[in-house]
Amino acid sequence: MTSDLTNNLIELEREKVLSEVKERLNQNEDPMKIFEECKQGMELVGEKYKKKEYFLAELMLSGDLFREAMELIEPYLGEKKVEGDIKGKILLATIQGDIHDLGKNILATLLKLEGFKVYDLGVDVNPDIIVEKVKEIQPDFLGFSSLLTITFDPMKEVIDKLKEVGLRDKLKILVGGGITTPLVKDYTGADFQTIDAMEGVQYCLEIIRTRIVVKARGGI
Amino acid sequence: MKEEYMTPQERMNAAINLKKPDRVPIAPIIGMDLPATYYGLNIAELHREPIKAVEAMVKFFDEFGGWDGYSTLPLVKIGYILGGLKFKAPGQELPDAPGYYGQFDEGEWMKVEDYKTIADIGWGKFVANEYIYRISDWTPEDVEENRKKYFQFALKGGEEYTIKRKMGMRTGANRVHPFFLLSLNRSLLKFTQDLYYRPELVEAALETMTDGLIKSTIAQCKGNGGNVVFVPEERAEGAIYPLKIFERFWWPYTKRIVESLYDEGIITWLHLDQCWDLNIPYFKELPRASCIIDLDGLTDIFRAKEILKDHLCLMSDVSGSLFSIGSEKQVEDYVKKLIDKLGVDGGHILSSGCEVPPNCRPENFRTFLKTGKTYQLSRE
Ligand code: B12
Repeated sequence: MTSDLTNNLIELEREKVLSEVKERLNQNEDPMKIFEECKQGMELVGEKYKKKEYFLAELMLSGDLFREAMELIEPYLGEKKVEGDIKGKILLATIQGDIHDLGKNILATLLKLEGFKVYDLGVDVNPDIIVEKVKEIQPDFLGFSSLLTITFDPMKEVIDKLKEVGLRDKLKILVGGGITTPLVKDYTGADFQTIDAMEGVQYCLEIIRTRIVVKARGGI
Repeated sequence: MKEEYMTPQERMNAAINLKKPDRVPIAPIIGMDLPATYYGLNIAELHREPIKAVEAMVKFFDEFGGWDGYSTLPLVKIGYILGGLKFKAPGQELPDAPGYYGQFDEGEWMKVEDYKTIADIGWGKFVANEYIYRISDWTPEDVEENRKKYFQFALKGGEEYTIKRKMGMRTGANRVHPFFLLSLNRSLLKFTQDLYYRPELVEAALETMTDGLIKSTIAQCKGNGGNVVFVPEERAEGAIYPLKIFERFWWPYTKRIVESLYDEGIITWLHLDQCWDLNIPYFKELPRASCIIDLDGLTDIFRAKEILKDHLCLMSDVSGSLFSIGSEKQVEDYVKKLIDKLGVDGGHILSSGCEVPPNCRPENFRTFLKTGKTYQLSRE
């Protein structure tokens, strides 16, 4: 059984969701419970998207509605933490010469919802800075968002540099964005390519899952 | 090998009207970025002096041996701003350095309140009266001057391509689809919220904008003798919205545009980027040969052919990735596949996905042209 709040979030009933959240917070209900119900709504939206019942539009709208609800809930949470354990760290960037960020932002929202810690370097990012940030943050994933063909060479440059400094195998690299194709994955030397943010999230989850299995079996 | 026997114009008309041309007409979309990169020109300067961009483009056209269809004019900053789209250009808002090209600046520049104004006075007046000053630092004098500059530049483009080079597609006007204009100016998320939470406001604006588009296109084409209008739409498709949104906010307006213009002898060139797989069947409702369906490589064009064959002309879709990092062999194979599968008998214009990208390998572009010009003739 899903609650009214959860259902309204799935149905993108913005007014209803926000007024219910406000009301229940005013009545001193446990903010964690309200948060959980919203989060469940987001998970079910994700399910619908995977089944192709929902589209990018609903994914964006629910993500933004969730963000609005969280803004209301957060002040009530006090010391309580809503994030569970961090599933993994991911560095995102749109590389030098390209200033597109819509797709990257959608991806970042979805990743955060799934419990990833997202380090977003923004747009038009210098390749050397990305290499430096990889050294500093040691992320599990590096994700490039690319909408222009002129980004292919600088992305390749980053990946080549990571090889030189011995960091390439320590992380998985994703390329996404409307212009990318499997050809781009091969050309740059990335591990995964997609034009669907949700597929990217699934890929990251899958990698984390297999790592946990490997660890459980006593592997590295 | 058989000889060509049609002019670019005849070839293009044949394809659009689903009749057999001597060979597939070729009409890649090339802005100024590729020619500028190829000749090592300064992009910042071309944005300031658009006439030079036309010169670079026709030089490139001549050097590569030409093709059949008019590509759109180079999209320079003043063109974007005059049309009501905020833009960042190298040397102005972006570094004046190699590797930087002009880019549209998406943001919530248009506000919810503006819908009403647009519904009342139309997009053109809204831009001219107030919006242009919100998205640029221009004064009214700058607007006047840039308008003149743009007009000269468009005139030069027409003269070089249509008159001197006898290009086959006479694009009389460029009009961003009303739905797309609103999406770009409100920004994707905000516009999506408007569609779901303030549908009436959007509809009222779309109504006025659609009428305005039709009227101004007819007037402009009558003035310059063009018979094709270039209409990009890259935000209404099934990759983003469910069909209920498409059916309410896009399809009726598009149908009205295409049908009204067709009645006046104008063909709508629908430039449809992104994946339109879900939406393709709708286009069967349009009058036969009334428009060109221009895809970018993300829609399954072979399936689109199955659905639209004998009804509408498709414009193909060699992707930017293939042009920039593919091999000549890959380009050749793909062009052959397009020609074989999309219609030796008409209904296909060979083209690039969106545009041929600035870092296209010149060999790949040569292969694209050569295969397009010779493949079919060499077999007949
Ligand atoms: C809308 C659009 C425009 C709009 C501007 C939109 C904007 N904000 O910049 C307008 C009409 C102004 C425009 C102009 C031009 N455009 Co344009 N445009 C597009 C289009 C159709 C969609 C971009 C978009 O808004 N997507 C919406 C977002 C949400 O999608 P997305 O970024 O792909 O993100 C999704 C996924 O890819 C994924 N994702 C994104 N990043 C990542 C990263 C990772 C790690 C993962 C896992 C997933 C992921 O998540 C998102 C949700 O699923 C693309 C084509 C395409 N198929 O992408 C061309 C495209 C980017 N444009 C192109 C071109 C050529 C141009 C022009 C140069 C045309 C011209 N001749 O002047 C101009 C100038 C460039 C510019 N940007 O201004 C080319 C670029 C190719 C190239 N040359 O390098 C493209 C790729 C079209 C094509 N098929 O060739 N464009």
